[in-house]
Amino acid sequence: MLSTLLLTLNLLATPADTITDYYEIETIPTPAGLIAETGGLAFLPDGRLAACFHRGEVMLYDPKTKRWSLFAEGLHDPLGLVAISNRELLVVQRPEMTRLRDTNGDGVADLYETVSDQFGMSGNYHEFAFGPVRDKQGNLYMTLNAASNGAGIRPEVRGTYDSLSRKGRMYACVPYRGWVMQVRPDGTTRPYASGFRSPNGLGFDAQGRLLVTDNQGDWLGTSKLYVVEPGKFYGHPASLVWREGFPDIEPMSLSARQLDSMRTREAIVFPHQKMAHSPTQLVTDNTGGRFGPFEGQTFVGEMDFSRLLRLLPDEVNGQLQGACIPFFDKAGLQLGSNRLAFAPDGSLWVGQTDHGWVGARGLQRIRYKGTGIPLDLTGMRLTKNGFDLTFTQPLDEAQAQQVANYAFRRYYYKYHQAYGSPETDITPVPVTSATLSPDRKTISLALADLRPGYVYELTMGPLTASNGQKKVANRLVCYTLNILADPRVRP
Amino acid sequence: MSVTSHCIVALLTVIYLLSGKGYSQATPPDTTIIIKAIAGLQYDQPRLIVKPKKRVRIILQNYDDMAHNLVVTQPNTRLRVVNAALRMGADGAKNHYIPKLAEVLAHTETVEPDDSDTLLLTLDEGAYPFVCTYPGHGSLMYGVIYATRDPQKLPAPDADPSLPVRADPRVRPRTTDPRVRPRTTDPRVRPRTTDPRVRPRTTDPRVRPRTTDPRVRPAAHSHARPSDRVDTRVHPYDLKLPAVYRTFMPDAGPAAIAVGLPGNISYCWDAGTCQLRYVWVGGFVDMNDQWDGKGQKLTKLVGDIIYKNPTGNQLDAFPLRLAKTASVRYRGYRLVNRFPAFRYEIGSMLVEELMTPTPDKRGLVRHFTLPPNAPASTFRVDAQPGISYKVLVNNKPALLKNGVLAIPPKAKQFTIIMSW
Repeated sequence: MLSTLLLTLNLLATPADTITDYYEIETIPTPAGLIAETGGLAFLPDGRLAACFHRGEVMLYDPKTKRWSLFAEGLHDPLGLVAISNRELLVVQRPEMTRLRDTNGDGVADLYETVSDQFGMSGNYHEFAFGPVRDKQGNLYMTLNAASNGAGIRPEVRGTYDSLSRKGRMYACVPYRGWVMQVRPDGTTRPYASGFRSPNGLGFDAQGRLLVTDNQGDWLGTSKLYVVEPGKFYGHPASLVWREGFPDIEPMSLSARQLDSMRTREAIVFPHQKMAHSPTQLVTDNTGGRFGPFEGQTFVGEMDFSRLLRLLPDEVNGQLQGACIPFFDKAGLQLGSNRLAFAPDGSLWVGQTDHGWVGARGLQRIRYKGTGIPLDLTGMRLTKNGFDLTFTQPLDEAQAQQVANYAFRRYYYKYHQAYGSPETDITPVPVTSATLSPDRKTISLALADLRPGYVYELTMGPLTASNGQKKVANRLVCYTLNILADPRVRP
Repeated sequence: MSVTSHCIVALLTVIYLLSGKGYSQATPPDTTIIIKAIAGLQYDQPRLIVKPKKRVRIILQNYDDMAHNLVVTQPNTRLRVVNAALRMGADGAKNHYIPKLAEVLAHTETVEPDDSDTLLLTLDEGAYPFVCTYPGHGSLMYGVIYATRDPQKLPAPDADPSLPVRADPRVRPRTTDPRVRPRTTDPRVRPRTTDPRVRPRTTDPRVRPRTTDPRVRPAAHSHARPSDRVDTRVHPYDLKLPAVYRTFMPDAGPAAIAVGLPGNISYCWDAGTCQLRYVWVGGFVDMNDQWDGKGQKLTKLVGDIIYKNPTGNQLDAFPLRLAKTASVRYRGYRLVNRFPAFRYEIGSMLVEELMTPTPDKRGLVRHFTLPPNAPASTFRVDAQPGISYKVLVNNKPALLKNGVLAIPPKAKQFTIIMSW
């Protein structure tokens, strides 16, 4: 009797094994008077954080002294930062990309040099400008939002006016709205890729590929991630007005089928609600393991949920597709996670905003405790007849090999003019076998049917490791199957 | 007081006849407002609140012993209209001192004592000054019509910068930095933030820290603030002038910039056309609407426009003719003791433009720096009501001919001094 009671107590005392056992979150106090709608985060070489905010401030924060100081002010809705040196930052604000430089060493920028303003502005609020990010060759990228028909334009605009896309829910009535722009080291600006709606997230993966997120809306059945390459069109038609050689027609007059044949599909779909409502910046873990077991993987911010997303890329026949899975889900992160940056110490800093939408304000820091590894998925790869799932550590064998622990359903999101899309053609897909690898870290699943052009949504059972001491941290993962592993079969 | 004037008083109590609800007629009647010109160069009702886009009938009744009129102007343009009326000279009286300016929205004719006149107008959302443009009256005799659906957002009447100063200034203590008006009332409740310092502030409109007329010096009292005071700063620092805001400015391109200078002289410089668009005096900007929410709304000017560049929106009307090409490209600005020096390229030649107030704060000095070995060039100034010009080349007095300054080759700098 007593021993039973003790055993029960012992069981009750067993840690629940949650993500907060491995990661801790801290809210960074921001200075009084600051409306902390965070638009950009970047770490300087000396370890200080640069952050920009909606009311135009660029502030520096020293994590050692916990002191804030002002670096620049008066910017128009700055929404991104890159640190060039301890005295120089690049920022994208509504009208331009700007170099902020402290030329006299007093700690405050005194040069606000225009790097690129070679794009139009109609005055519509939705024409946000995001970025910059810088690739290894020194090219800079920014993205230009399309305008919203929820509001008008100013009597005076900057740039050539063209009304051909005005009928759309989102429109591009001045040059290069809905485009990714590239600024080369020689200072020239070129329109780089088109077809974007509200691309509030730029970054590079571990291989240096330029990735851009876009937000559910018209022509986007759900939010998604693109691998961006020059000259390509990614699906939102308003931007086509500014494509060289595009005929003088309303882009929305083309059928969805015509546009579908012109577009480059997303690499990874973020299923609405389940994963994201409004994905934001992405950042790749280059911490050498100081942020835990996800070195080289890419994290994505999200406005409307208390979570980040983590990408599980899969290169199939040289083409990137892959899966997304929540990270730090409902574990203390505020809503509105808009900007991400890894600190030199390997912690991940998250800046929040609301900006008239759902969200919150402030700055938080997620730190890997360094004691133990959570049980989580680190890879999802397409095979000839299913998927290989790789975990951070060996799985408990019996559960892992039960096919009942892997429930797949597939569906797709429509590509059409309407706002959003339901999950379409939802079909459960049976798992026919589950085979554990000798190191017990990879489970190979065979599926009854694999079909390109679908999201394969997997809900896992309560898998465990270490004799049940560790529970799999996230059980929902969504794989975007654009092409099959067999190169002869394409969508 | 006569029976008639009692009736007028009764009528005045329905001035705030805001609601059209309950009217079933196809054409709702106009809102009628009676304004009296009374002794002491004033209107008895300096502050009116009406509904936007509804026709308003204003009856000016002159109870004073001298002639007056009533002119409704575009927002922030009272001084420009008053100055223009002053310059009408001999033509003034026969034209009722109504200058031909787009800024004049509606006006009465001259109203002699014991007479009246009526005007009709329909206003979009905004703050519209009304003023008597009789010579000498306009600096005191004015008021404001607010066309708004949100009257509770307006500043308290005793702290309204749009009103003339009448009361003892001690009852209008300055509560905050007069140059930028913070919003203490966030209409969207934001309970999610965890930082107690960014919590929504009090919603009591009476504690809204509106600015007073900055021309009024606060009475000499201690500026010590009680420890429990609401922090009304709009930034994590006290705003210092000169200050630059890139923002959506009215009557300019979407890439325009607001600059506030010491002496409450402010200007709008347009990075789209690289031109000075307008200058205003008496305050800086109200960022509340622009900062709130998604950013569609424009920044509001605090004060009165005193200069407006009539061709500031035209790239091909660039006032500085330096190269054959008219193409101008904006390059940014550097801060010189916080004063922005704007830089732009004409052809491949870099020009820098820096503006400072005149020592008496009754004018603006525009310093232009030319590139080395600059060719001969010209700079055109605009004739403006109330504005006079002096020009310098390489810091030596020069002459304007028909509004044009001829700048010799290899000049290093030239200066345009605007005074009002």
